[in-house]
Amino acid sequence: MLPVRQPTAKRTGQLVFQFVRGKRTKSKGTLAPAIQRAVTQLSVMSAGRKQPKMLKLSQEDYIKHQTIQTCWAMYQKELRDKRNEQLRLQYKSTEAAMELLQKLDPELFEAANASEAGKRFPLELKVPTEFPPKKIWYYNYKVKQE
Amino acid sequence: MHFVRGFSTSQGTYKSACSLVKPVHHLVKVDKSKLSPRFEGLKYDKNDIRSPAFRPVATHQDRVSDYYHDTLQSDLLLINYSHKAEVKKGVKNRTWDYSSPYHVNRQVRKPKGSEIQLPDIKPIKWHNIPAIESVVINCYVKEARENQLLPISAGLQLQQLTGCKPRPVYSRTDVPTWKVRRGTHMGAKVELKGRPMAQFLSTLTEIVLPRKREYKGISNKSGSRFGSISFGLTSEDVKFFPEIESNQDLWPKTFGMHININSSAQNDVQARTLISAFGLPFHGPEKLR
Amino acid sequence: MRLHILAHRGVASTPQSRTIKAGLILSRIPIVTQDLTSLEKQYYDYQSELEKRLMWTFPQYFYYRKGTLAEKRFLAAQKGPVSRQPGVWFPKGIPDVKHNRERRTKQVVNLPHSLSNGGSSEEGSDGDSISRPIVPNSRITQADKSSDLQSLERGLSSTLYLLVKNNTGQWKFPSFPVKSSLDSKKRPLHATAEAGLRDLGGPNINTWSISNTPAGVLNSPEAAEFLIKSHIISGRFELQPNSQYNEFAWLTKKEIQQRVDEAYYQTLACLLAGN
Repeated sequence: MLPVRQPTAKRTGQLVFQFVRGKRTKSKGTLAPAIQRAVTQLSVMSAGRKQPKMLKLSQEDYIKHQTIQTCWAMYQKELRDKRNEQLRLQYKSTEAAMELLQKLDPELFEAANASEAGKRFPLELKVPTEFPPKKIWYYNYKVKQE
Repeated sequence: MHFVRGFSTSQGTYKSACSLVKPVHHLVKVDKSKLSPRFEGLKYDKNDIRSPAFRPVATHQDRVSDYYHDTLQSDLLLINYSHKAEVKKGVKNRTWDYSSPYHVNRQVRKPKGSEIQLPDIKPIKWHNIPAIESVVINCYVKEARENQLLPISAGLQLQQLTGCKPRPVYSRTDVPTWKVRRGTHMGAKVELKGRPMAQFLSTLTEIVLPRKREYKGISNKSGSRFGSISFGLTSEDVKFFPEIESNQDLWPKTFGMHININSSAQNDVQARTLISAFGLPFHGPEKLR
Repeated sequence: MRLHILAHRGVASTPQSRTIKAGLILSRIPIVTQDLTSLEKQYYDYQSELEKRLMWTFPQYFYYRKGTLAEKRFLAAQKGPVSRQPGVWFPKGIPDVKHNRERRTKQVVNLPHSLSNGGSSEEGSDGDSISRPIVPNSRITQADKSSDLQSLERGLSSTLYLLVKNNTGQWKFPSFPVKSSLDSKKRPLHATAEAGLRDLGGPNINTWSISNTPAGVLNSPEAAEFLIKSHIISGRFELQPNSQYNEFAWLTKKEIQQRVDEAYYQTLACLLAGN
């Protein structure tokens, strides 16, 4: 038996096809770069080979975890109830004030009860950050002269 | 329902819409994964630590929601206060008067002056103060009908911006004029809630929008009438996100997206007041209806 | 019916006896987030550790192209996992490595030295470089240390309220009588409060009135004081010399409780933010 089959050189235009035994026809590098990029992008988003092992908690650890979760849930409920109670009191307080204002002065009441559609919070009111900015407060505000 | 028995004919009685007993058996959903004894983990809720889908939620302080609870809630309560306000009924479907025999089995009568029923507007009290519920980001790539690699990129862009896993979006119908075929992968969307939502909103209002040139704000005309406001970012604006900006060579092409902010406000007027508190500007004349 | 109308008139005829005042609750919203309680801190630590443990492997092949210098630097900064070998006993369990990550523990991603340390030598001089080290400002300011109650830069994590001390030594929220202008049309309460604030504290103050609606009322036989809420945005409150008050302070809720009398505090406590 011949160790290597003699390649049958076949001329088609300029190209010469040669069959070599053992040469890999499929390899990773053959993908077009655009497709290769899409494959990478898909693999970033997908879980394949990237997931860690599942948590296996012992009975004791599981009970500990449950205790912590219950504690947190109770704490959150307390906070929520406290906030709701305060908001309820605020509403009642506003209601009482408006009731009295209506009795004392209907004109001021009308102005106070006017609809506030289109009210916007100013952009200068910022969501608190974890650390303060370099310039904490802008003191040099000057009122515009009309 | 007024149903007059016509003795000359029994046709009306046999119409399926008149059946009083609704079939139930088709409505019961059976989750087969719960029945199988093989995968114990699938039986648990996703917030149970034994479930494979478990992911902790409260991993850090949420400064946006803290701000909302500490400062905004009481302000919004006061802004939306209306003395002795009552429930404002929305228009509802009407009934036919059954003066004609053709009224039986006819479609429901539309409400007056509206195609759909409108919800009741309840006065704002301490328990229904408007809040932002979720942010839905939708990225639809028009060119995806020619190049199916683009929606993959768009999905990854959403993942990079939000840190949440996006869902693919497919075109729903054939639109020959736009050369869209049904079932084509056209983009991605992601729904944000809780901490990822807060993170995205603060990135948007503190880093991205201030850098837009001559940005006036969200149009006051935007809104679904029922408390959700939407606006868009172009593919140029998206480049201002720090995740994209610091890896510019990875993003030769960026994708614009639509952002819907869903709130529990009952109309758009309340919703705009609420959303402006998080640092999103608005422009244009206020639209009251 | 008749009686009802009479009764209504009777009520309507009383207002002249009582003066209406507009009080002002001027607040500075918190600038930094709230201090965490120990429970919150521990819980957040626990949850974030769980999150790190359950996180997917960092896809470094996406951020660092293969064969680039950046990739080499990144890989050099990582502490690789111990790989599994046949016939070797591992005291901490058999390693389970995928994508260069030990799957049983959390993945620690180290940034390359030049990024994490701000390029100590060559980039250190460039103050505006993005790779300079991040040094957060202190949450406790100079005003906190010197307990300067008139500074707006104190108590950054809590809401501050403007209180003034009148000549009898009582701390109160500022209040202003409602005046009717010449054309017999009264100024609304919030406008009165805003104008009064500028008379009291100088014009260079930027505030935002939350609503026209009063948040509460301090009711007494001779006067009714309707409280308007407002936020200060910028500017400085400077007590004008010829006013009825002689001192002012920016105080938190707790500090207000120490200074004002109990009944006054009880009626107002629900209007003040807890933090």
